[in-house]
Amino acid sequence: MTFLGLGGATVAWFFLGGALVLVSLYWLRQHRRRVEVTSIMFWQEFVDKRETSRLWGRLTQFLSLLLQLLILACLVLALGNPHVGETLNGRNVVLLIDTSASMNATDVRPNRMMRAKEEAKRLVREMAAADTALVIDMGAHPHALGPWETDGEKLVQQIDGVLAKQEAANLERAIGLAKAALQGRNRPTLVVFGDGDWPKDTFSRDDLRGYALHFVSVGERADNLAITAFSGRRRPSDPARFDLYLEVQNFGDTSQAVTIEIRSGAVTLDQQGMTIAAGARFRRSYSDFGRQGGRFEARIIPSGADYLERDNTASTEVPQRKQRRVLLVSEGNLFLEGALLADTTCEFDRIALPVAAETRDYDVVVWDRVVGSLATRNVPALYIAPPSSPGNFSLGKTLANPTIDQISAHPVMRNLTFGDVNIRAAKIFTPKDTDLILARSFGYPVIVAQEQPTRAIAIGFDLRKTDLPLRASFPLLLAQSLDWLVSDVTDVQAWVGALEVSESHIKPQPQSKTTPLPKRQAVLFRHDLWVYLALIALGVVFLEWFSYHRRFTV
Amino acid sequence: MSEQLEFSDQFLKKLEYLHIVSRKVFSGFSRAERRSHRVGTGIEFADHRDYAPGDDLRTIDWNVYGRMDKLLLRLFQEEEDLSIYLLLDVSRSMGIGKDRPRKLHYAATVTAALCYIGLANLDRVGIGTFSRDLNLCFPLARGKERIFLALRLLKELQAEGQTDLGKAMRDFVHQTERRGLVVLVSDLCDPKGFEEGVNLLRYHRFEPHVVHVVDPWDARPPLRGELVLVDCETEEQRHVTVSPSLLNRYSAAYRSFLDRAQSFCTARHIPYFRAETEIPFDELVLRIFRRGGFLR
Repeated sequence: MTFLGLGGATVAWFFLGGALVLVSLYWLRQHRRRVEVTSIMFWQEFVDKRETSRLWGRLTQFLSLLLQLLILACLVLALGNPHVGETLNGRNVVLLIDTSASMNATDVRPNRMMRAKEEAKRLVREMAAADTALVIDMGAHPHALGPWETDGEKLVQQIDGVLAKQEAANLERAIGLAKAALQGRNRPTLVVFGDGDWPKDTFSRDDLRGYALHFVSVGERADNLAITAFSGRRRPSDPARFDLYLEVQNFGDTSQAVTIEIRSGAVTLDQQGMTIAAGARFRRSYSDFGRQGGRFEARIIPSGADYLERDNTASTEVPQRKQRRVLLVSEGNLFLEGALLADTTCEFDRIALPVAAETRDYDVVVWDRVVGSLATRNVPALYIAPPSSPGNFSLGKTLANPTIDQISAHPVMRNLTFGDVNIRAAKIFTPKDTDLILARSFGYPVIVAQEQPTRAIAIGFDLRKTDLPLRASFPLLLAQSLDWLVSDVTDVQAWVGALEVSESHIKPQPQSKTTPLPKRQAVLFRHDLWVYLALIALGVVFLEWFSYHRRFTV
Repeated sequence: MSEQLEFSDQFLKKLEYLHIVSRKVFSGFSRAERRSHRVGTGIEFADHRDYAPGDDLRTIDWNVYGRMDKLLLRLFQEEEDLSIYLLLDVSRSMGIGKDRPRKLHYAATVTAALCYIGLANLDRVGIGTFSRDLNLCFPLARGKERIFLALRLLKELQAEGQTDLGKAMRDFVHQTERRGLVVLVSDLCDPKGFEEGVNLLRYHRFEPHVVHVVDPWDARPPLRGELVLVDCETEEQRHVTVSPSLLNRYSAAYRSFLDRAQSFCTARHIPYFRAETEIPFDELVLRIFRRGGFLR
């Protein structure tokens, strides 16, 4: 028997002290008041008749005291909190509860998370009195849910507060936290509750030697279809139009039939049924959803088992595109005007000569072979073959028959090729430190850009003296230049459901170097004896009260 | 007795008053003012008996002879003073109690009163005390002046010894030749019973009167809780837990004892007077007078 409360010596001293008090009180009670009466014969019939038996008379004298001493012994022993079959050297148990997104799977009822919590609570209830435990939420940011506890009820409350998250578990960090918590403690024990969706040798580590490792697996099935990618973007060549991209994967072990829907608000834009083989992916692009953009939602509806529903929807948003107002200052350039007309996102006005006109309503001013002094009011500008240094640019000498041989990775120059473009002549620029060189010819900047104070692009050659307008790159150059000058966004944000892709793989994995949690043998009685001692004390109190009032004792 | 009995002047005045009252009750008698039942040479006709040779011829009732032709003698009452024996219980049970009148004091007071009246009525009065043994401490005497001796005797009485009424009365009847009236003043708390002693008096042709001295404390003792009861005479001890219900049962048992004593005496035509110590002694004495028997 082990005393987990007061020590054995303390219990003995308590008993001795209490016994001394009891005996003193008992002696005082026995010391009755003497009263002289005329004759005892009138009291004879009311006197204890058992006094004729001397032995029984003596016993009843002390029986009450013995019962009271028994009550005292039971209560004092209960203070010692004796336990049978256990030692003072209890375990220090860390409960790692997986809270990754895959724990939302419903292959076990009601779901893996609830099952894991039930298993954890069962462990807590079966803990020995000398054990202490720490509960760690093993999510993306592992953290302990409370201090080391011996109180089972508090541990159960902590476990009840655990919820499955949307992200993957950070197992490495969780193990590190557990090790730090167990440092220097006796009988370190690690119990992991999860679906084991980690590498099999996660616990086969040298630094976990000496730890009692237990893994409680809560998953059973792997059937799950998930949207693994869903994004949208506007076409660079035609920003008025956009494309959506969808990817669906079958993580299960069998083929699955599924219906795929693309919706915009309450409108179903596309619906498709198909069968995806086990482990296979389905990919598709959508491009016929108009020009306006907006929020789009993809949804899959599996016809078979699908134990994780959170990865069955995803949404993305294509920003709305606005009309740009362009002022073309030119004596006439059909190639330029034609390209601007072809851009459906542009509205342009042409003026021949620069006049002091309000330009506030224009998003961009295109100066074609003209440099003016408009009240530009910080409106972005595109200079094409400026006769003199336009804006903050500095013109240099003229190159004959230049070949653009260097193109920067700037968004304006994306997807452009100038390798076979013929240019009769081009003026070079003397760039400042803040200028961006978009294209060079033999090292000389022929297309430059700047961002401060206002965005501006300068092209050093005349469009009429080159075959660039006849190339596919020309409208792209013009569109990308206008996009950059007005800071249009061409790449769009994308959301892929609410889960990381790795969490859609819900197949449970056994873990090596761990053992299942041993089942505690059913006990017929509690190991903590204080309850029984208290009950015995209560019973003896009633017995002593009864015997005293029935005059069995005195 | 730690507190000694005192007979004050007030007490003596009361005695005189009682005597006057007794004389009013018993008036018209001169010397030897109590008639005995004995047949003798008095002047009052008592009875007839048959003539036997040798009887005094002067006592033949010639009227009866003339009528019935039968010789019958006329018998006359003997006029002589009656002996009054006052037997006082001085056992230890009569002397216990603090902060309340002791039975012995009360009994001695009643005895003194009766003694005075008897002496004042020219009777012979004797006083005896008893517990286990009898002690005729005041032999039969006549004359009012003897009262002071009696009072001094009664003042010095001590309560001691165990009650044995039977033995004491046995000693009395064997020691006493002259028959008379016996006033037994006692609490009758004899473990062996009072009946034997009283019967002995009857059987030996004494005229017993019983004055049963009762202490109200004995009837309803104000006791509670865990007690050790000690018999004042035998010193036997008993552990008792006194509760109200137990007290009620005790009181019933004590009343039963009192009733039994009264029933016993009544059934045998023995005058019985219950003398509670709370009742003034003169009131008791008057009750005795009214009851009759003590005075003729």
